This record gives sequence, C-alpha cells and structure tokens, in this order.
Amino acid sequence: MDFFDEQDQARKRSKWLVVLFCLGVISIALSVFFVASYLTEPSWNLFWLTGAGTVGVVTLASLGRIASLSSGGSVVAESLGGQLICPNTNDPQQRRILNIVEEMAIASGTPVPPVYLMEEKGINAFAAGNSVNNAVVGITRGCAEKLNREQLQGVVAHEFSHILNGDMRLNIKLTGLIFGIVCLSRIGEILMRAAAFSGGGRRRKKDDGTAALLAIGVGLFVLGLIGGFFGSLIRAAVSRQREFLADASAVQFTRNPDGISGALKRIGGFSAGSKLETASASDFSHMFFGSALTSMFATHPPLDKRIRKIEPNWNASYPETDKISEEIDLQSEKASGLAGASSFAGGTSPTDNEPVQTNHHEQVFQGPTSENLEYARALLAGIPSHILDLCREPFGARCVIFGLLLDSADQKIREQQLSLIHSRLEPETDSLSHKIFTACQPLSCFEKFALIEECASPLRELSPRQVSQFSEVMNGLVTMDQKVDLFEWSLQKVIYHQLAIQEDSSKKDPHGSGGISKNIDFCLPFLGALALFGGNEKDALDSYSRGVSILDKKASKDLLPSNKCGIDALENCLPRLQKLSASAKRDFLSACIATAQHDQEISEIEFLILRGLAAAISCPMGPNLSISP
Amino acid sequence: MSSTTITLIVLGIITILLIFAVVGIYNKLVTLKNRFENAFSQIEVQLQRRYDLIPNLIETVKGYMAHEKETLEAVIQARNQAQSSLQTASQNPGDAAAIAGLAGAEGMLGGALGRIFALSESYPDLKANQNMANLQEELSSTENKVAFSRQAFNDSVTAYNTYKQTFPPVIFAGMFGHGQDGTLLEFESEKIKEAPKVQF
Repeated sequence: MDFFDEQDQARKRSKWLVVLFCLGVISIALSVFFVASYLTEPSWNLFWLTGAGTVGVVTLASLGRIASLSSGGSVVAESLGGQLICPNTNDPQQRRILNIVEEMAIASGTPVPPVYLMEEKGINAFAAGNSVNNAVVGITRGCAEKLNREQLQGVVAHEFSHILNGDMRLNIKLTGLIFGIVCLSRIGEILMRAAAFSGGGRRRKKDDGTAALLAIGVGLFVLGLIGGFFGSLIRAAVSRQREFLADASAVQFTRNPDGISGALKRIGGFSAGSKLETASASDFSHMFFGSALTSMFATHPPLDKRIRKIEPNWNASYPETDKISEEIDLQSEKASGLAGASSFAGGTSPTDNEPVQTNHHEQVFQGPTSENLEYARALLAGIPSHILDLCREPFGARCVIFGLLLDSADQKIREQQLSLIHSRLEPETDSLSHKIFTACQPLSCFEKFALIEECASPLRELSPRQVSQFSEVMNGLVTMDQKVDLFEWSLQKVIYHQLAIQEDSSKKDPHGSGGISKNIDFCLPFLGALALFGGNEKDALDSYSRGVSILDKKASKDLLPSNKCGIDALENCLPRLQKLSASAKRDFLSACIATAQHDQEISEIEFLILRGLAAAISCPMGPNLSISP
Repeated sequence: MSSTTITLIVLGIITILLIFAVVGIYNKLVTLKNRFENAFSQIEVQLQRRYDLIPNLIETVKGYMAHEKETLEAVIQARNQAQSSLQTASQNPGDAAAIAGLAGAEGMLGGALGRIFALSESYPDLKANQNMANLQEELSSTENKVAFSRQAFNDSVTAYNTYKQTFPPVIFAGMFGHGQDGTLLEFESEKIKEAPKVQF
C-alpha cells in the first residue's frame, strides 16, 4: 500500500464518479422533459428550459455543498456537534487521545490535527477536511471511554489512513453530488405544495398550469428520490471499499491487528454500538469509523466481515462492552509526558538522533510503521516537557516558532529580532520567546521540527487577525539578517503549509496532474542541492546521478553548478512542482531521498531541504527518514 | 406550452435560488457561532488553570499573613465565584448574561489578588519564598495566555456579530434563532490585564 498511488486513484475515481453523476443528472433532466412534454406539446423551448433548470439546480446545490464542506474539517466537526479538545487539556482521558494523535501525526509527518470530542454514547470516530493541513479528527465520548489505548490507537490509525489516502476529498465530492440530486426531490415537494395551493384558488383558467406544475413537482420528487437512492448506493459501495483499506492500513501503521479488531469487537458488544444521535449524522455517515446508521445504504461493511478480514480465526464472540470502563493510567498519560513508554520498550533512545543508515527510501511512502511511532514517541520524550506544554496552546506555540527563529550566531541581530517582537506583539511575548530560544539551543533539527508539527493545532486556533500579525512578525524575523537560511526557509514552508497562509491551498486539491518528464528541469536543482550541500563533496556526482537515474534514465547526469541550486533557485522551482500528480511527487521525493541517502545517512541539511520541499508540495514526510526497517 | 406554465416555472426557479441563498446564510450563521463557542474552550482551560493555582497561593501566603485573614478569604470567595461563573459561561458562551457574569467575577478576583500581592510587599520573608515567586510567575504567564485566547474569542465573536448585521443575513438572523449578538469578553480590572505583577 502506497498512499501516493491511493491518492492518484482516489482522484481518478472521483473523476469517474463525477462523470457518472453527470450522466445521471442528464438522464434526470431528460425524464423531466418527457414528463413535461407529456402535458404540453414538446418543443425545443421546453427542452432547454427543463434541461437548464434541472442541471442548474443540481450543479448549484452540489457546488454549494462541496464549497461549504471544503472550508475545512473543523466546520464539519463543529456541525456534528464536536467540541474542540484543547491541546493542553489536563483531563486524562482527553490527554490520552491527544497523545495518540500526536504520535501518529509526527510519525506520518503531518501537522498534528485538532481533535474534536462528540458527546455521543456510541463508539465512533471520524476524520474530516480536504487536505492534511485542515484535517481534523473527531472522537465520540463512548470511544474515549470504552476503548483501551491499543484499540484507540487502531482507531486513530484508521482515521489517519483516510487522511493520507485522500479519502476525505472523495467523500466531500460524493456528499455534495448526492445532495444536489436529492435537492431536486425537495424542489419537487415545494412545487407540489405550490400546485396544491394555487389549485385551491378559484381561478379556473390556470388549471392547465396547475396540473403541469403538479406533474412536474411529482416527477421531480420521484426522480430526485430515485437519483438519491442510486447515488447513495454508489457512495455506500465506494465507502465500504475505503473502510476495508483503512482497516488494513491501521494494522500496518500500528503493526498490531489486536488494536483495530479489538475496537471493532467492542462496538459489536456494545448496546449503543456505533450509533450517533446527532441529526446531521446521515449526511456524514460515510466518514465515520463505524456505521452511524443501520440501513440498507450502510456505508460500512458489516462488523463481523471487517473483523474477519483482520482476524480470520475469530470465534464470533463479542465482549460485554457495557460493563467495561477503561482505567487510564494517569501516571503514564500525565499532562506533558508521553504515554505508553513501558509497553513499547526497546524504542529508539531519545538522544539517538544520529542518522541511521538505510536504503529503503520507498518505505517512507507507505504511511507510518510501528518503528516510526516509537521513534516519534522517543523524539517527543527527548524534548523538555515544559517546552512541549508551551506548544500546546496558542500563545506559547507562537512564541516557540519565534524562539526557533531567533538568530543564534549574532547577538545583535537577535536583539533586533526581540525588539521587533516587543514592538509588535503583546507584552512578554519577547521574553518568553527568548526563554524558549535558550531552551531549544541543544535540540536537533529533527526535534525542532517535531515541535513545529506540535504547534500546528494550537496555531489553528488563532483568529484571522492574529494569523496575519503572526506571519508578518515571522517574516520580519526571518529577513532580519537580510538573508534566508535553510532552516528558516524550511520552517517557513512548513508553517505556511500548516496555516495555508501563502496561497489559498486549503480550498484546492493539493495535487495536480503533471508528469516528471516535462518538469525534470524543475526537479534537478533539488537533487543538486542535496548532492552538493548534503554530504561529502567527493561523492556529490555519484549521489546526484543516482537520484537522476531514478527520475529519468535519459536525463543528463552532469551535476548542476552550485549557484543553480541555491535557495532562490529551489524556491523558483516550487510552483511547478506543486502541480505534479501525487505519484510523480512520490517518484520525485524518492529520487531526492535516494540522493540524500547515498552516503548512508541523512544529515541535517538534507533533512531541512527534504522537509521544506515535502511541505511545499503538500506531501507528508515524517522525521523517520533515518529509521531502518 | 402556455405562458402561465413558463411564468410559474421561472418563478419556481427564482424561489429555489432564494431558498439556496437563505440556507447558505443559515449555515454561515451556524458555522460562525460554532467557531466562537469553540474559541471559548481555550479561555476555559487557561482560566481553570489559574483557579487551580489560587489555593496553592493561599496555602503559601497563609503562614506569613496570618492577620490578613479577611483579604485571604475574599480571594477564596472571589475565586469560587469566578469558577462557578466560568462553568455557566462555558455551557453557553453565546449568552450575554453568562459572559458578563464571568467578566464581573474575574474583575473581583483580579482586584482581590492585586491586594494580596500589594500586601506581600511588606513581608520580606514572603518575598524571599521561592514557592511564592514560582506561583506569581505562573499566574502572570497564564494571564498572558488568557489575554491572547480572549483576543481570538473576541475576534470570532466580532466576525459573527458583523455578519449578522450585514444586509441579507440581518433579515433572517432573528428567525433562525440568532437574534442575540455574541458578547465580547472584556475584563474590566486593569490589574488583570497587566497581570498581578509585583517585583520581588
């Protein structure tokens, strides 16, 4: 399983679905025409009128719905009645969920998504949003209470698979299109009422009009319902496929089939099951972990089938979930610390950030593995807990970013930077930033970037005004010394990506459809930079040509001069690279990683280039490059 | 096809478009309200943290300020009052009375805390107490965080109120149960904004 391929496939699939729906809408429009022409003589006028009316209504309704759903996962979560869990919460139950989500996000190299809690008894969860940058994870109260850590981890991994595989965009399109068709039946209903109303009047002359209205109303109503019926069937079929895939990915991410299957079993043995009470649940039923509704449009495969896929020898017995209440190990889930360290003994030691050798660059694209999870956990454990605490609320998160940007070499510039913060922002922002700067000095790049991912969710709590203030000051700090160094460049890319500041990327599809061969000139500078600045200069040509040969066998293997691989040159290449298709990005990133790993290790410079690049082209990339399988 | 039918159909389409527009307005109102209600939860966490610190503060101060019993009790009372106001407000952050109640209680608490810190000036032993210094440091850093989250909350309340007052929504807001404006959370006491900052 490779989530880049999955994303491309999801893209293709959603194109097909759109075509399918267009055909459906056209046939509905034709049917409306026939109904209408049965009543009056058919004419081209009538044909165009009904056609334009039907298509117009469906398109408008669908686009409106898609646009409103695309405004980000938090809108969906909030309309489902979700309550944001503050990243700095002290509630042990909520802390546990957040710890699991944080580990999973850092292991898979995505910004830590905000987590919403729904006050529902059933065991369920969902992921929403249309890209990794505005994704959110939602979890019901039942899920938090009735599952143990292992099982919760399985559920969260399942949701991350939806995020990484691009299922959420597909879901949004599906929901929108069905909504458009179902809208027709609503309109039919309104027309029927209007006809009944005007038929009640005594104006007999208008009888033919009323009858036509009534007939069109009934026609639209029935057609809309039929369309909606088939639409829901298609949606259910697609969604069931994705659920199996997500279950399988959850096993792969956690390398622990018991977690996810245990969670499913607990749903099976629970009187409240995975049902949801909220009214809007049916609209979003396909997004959930377990089926929210019981009907023939089930968007999820039956529980026992899902469990059997993971655990073929299952004896079909469900636990009595009603009696279970999970005791949470308060000590291990304490506010700042990271949990479960004892049960995952033998992880990478926290200080062991020395790059480890590996040749398996393909592995990065298959989602996080249990090693990555352990690595992420260890990485977080290596960061002083008071700094991590700061990352978990907006004020502190902002200061952490500022602190990381303070110039460590030149004290004069650092003072200028601090006075900039002092003059533009709230009191004590500057002193806190300076404290963080001092505390972060000994941290490695890998840890610093884990901190930045941690800041993602609190930074999304900023109001638009605060965001623009923040990004202004951040730019000021970066350009204070008249130049942008690699760390600053990379950090800026990651933050812009997380907050969707630079371009309105949140609304758009993160990937395009470009191929590598046409854009090879834009790829080469990155390989050049990795080869020239990343490792031993003597090997530069070798590592460069290794990367190039992955990209394109025929391309010239002459190393670019170093002035063509500077940050400016890299920056210029990005707009074209963003438009590559997901699988082309995968190939390009593997070439980059192959180049970087030519000398058997990833240096900090290489990590920074890769991290900035991955963020700029909307590909999640974890800190785990240096983990060998 | 008679002209009546065409007129009716055209009217129907216009009605449909209007319905879409109104549904859009409704959704936007709900989204904006959800946004600011969720923005309140960060304030809640920070304020709660502050209220949790106060008993420790009292515990530390008590030994030194034995004959300032009244002041200490006032702080405890103000703290309990603020805590229950916070609970009410967090149930319904859109309610003007609840927000005003919280602002009032916070003002009281700020004043009472300010008095303690002013008094502590005249107790050199207390000033030397490391615990006291830590608590004060922590209280003031929580203060900054509260102020910052309050800013975000007020921004989203303002966005909601402004949207409600623009032209088409202003007609429907009342009908959809969005009659009441969101209330900005402002703490009156200047001491609170500045944090109980006393140099040791």
